[in-house]
Amino acid sequence: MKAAIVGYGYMGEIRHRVLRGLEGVEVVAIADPYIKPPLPDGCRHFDDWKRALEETSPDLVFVCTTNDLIPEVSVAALDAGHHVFAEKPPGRSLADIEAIRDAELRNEGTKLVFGFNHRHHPGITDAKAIVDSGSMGAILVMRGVYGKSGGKDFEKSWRNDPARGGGGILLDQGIHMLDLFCFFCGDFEEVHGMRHISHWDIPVEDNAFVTLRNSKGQMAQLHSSATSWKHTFRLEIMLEGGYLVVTGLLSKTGSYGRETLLVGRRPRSGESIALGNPREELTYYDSDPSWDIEVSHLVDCVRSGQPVMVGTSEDAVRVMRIVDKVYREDPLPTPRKKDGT
Amino acid sequence: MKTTVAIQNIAEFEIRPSELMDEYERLVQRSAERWLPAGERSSQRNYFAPGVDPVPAFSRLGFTYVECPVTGSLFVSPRPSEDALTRYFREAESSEFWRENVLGRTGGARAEKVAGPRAEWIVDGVAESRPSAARVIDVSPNGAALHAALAGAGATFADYRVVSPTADLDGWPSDGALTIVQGGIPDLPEEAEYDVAIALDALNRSYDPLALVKGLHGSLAQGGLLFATAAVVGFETQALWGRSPSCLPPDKLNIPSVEGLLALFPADHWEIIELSTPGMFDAEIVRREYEGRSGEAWPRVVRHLIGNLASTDHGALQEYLQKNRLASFARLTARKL
Repeated sequence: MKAAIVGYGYMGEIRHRVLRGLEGVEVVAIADPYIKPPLPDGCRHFDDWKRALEETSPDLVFVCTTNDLIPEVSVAALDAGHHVFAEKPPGRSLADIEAIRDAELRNEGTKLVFGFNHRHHPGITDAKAIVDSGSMGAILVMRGVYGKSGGKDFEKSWRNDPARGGGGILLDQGIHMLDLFCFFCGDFEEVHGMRHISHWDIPVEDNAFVTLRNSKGQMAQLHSSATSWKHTFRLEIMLEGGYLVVTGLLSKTGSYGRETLLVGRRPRSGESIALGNPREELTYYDSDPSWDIEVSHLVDCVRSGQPVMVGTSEDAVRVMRIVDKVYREDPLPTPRKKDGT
Repeated sequence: MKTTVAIQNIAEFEIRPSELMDEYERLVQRSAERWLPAGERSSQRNYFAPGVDPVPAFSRLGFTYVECPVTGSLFVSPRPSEDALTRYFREAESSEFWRENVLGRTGGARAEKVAGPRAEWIVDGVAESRPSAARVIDVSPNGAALHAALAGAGATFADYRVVSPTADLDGWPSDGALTIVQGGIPDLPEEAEYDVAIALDALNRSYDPLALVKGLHGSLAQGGLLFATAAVVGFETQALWGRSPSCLPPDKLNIPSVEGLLALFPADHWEIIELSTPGMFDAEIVRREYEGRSGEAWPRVVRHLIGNLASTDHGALQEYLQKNRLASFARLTARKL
């Protein structure tokens, strides 16, 4: 199976590393005008992604570009009959993901996966298994905090350029937490949100709050932030029979802290445990298989002909509808001036 | 491989009251002289580093512990024959005292604070790694409490087979899914069809822990899960050595270190999903022993660490020990490859 990678920044390199470990998969082309050969493993280099696809006819196309290029490359690749793995966010807007989804639908047989890798983090998969087992009852509410600190050159990042990124921290990072809310609770019919440029000199939001409620009455709340001076990931799931808290994320730098899952169970009637202080178990994880799982999922689906089950275009549309609603409800704020006015 | 820290309000006396444990130790010594005479014991091979000779460690209640120089595991050698041990666990006065008095009088606390959490661990582990599990084999001594807790945690298995030398003495309920086999390793099913194997505290007591693990491997279907717990060489054992309450023969014939425990599960046969030491009592026990014998010569590090520990705050130290797999009780989840 031949693969091409379009865009060879941080994510492109990660995808290449994962593909290198898959039996029967070969990366034949890397398209990125900002890098120069020689490339790892003797891959052919292209400045022009269209030429890369035409000349190497890959089975799989990994779209690891800036957000503005994701729809164009994905749609063209699907129309040419390639299977596509696209990074999140799935474009800059709801219109972008709808265009990609239309391309998927009109090209029956092509597979399309989006890189919502947080679903495959070990703390999340263990939490999901516990929820699905029913041993702790139904989910009542969820709370998520996902934040980063910005940092050097943050204000100059393409991610904060509306033309290339499409949105701010909510679209860039908060989308993962929204996807997790949907992963656990399905669709949310009610969406409310606020966003603001609280600190950085950028034209997109650096903080956003989103509240959600679905037809079962399950509510969720997200704080997405680029002013979390300590990198933070925390997902709390309150259930009828206890609570689950995933904190930290296994990442290359480890800056989000060691990934853990806290499981607390509401004492059963008759137990001597003090009210409000139940027994807890905190599990520490030491490996992150998420990148491997999602890429393997695409490869497996292509080989077996089975439909994509995780990171589908439906998942992507669902989460982009939430972002779109928040962005429409609270329009792009006026950038904060340096003098505070 | 993941590691779990357990945070629970529990004190040792709730499950091992000192007056009962003192009497139990007295009876063990007396029963062992009758049922497991020293002249009928033979040297034991090193299960934790085969081919490597162990070195002397200490004696306890008339039994000699040796140490594996590679892994730091402890085991009784010479030890009684397997048949003699079976007779002891079934008929000795000390064994009866354990069943009737220790388990009998601490049953409520054990159900809530030991069996309950263990059942939840198994239920969650099954949900995470083999949600369709229907067939279980359980070789744990005194396993009836766990079985009840599993039912309380909502676990339902179509086939639950118990294989233990004392299985018929454990007070199992009448349950159509239960099959009780009074037996040992040769009685483990070989058809490789079981989804889950449970071996709580069984490795400590087993005459041949390597053979037990191998037997369970043979009983499990590919991808099947093994849940095991064991007293291990941890902070309490290291600090108290021959006086460690965890080193209680003949129930604790084998006390592996964490490395020794892993050595029982070769990487070409097993994938270790979790290895944790969620032991609760290291800090509490060492502190109690230290205060009771503070005039004795203790290692400087123990004197400094335990002597300066606030009288009620064992939790932070215990949590540190658990997080770093240094506590004296381990649990392990492994998947058959």
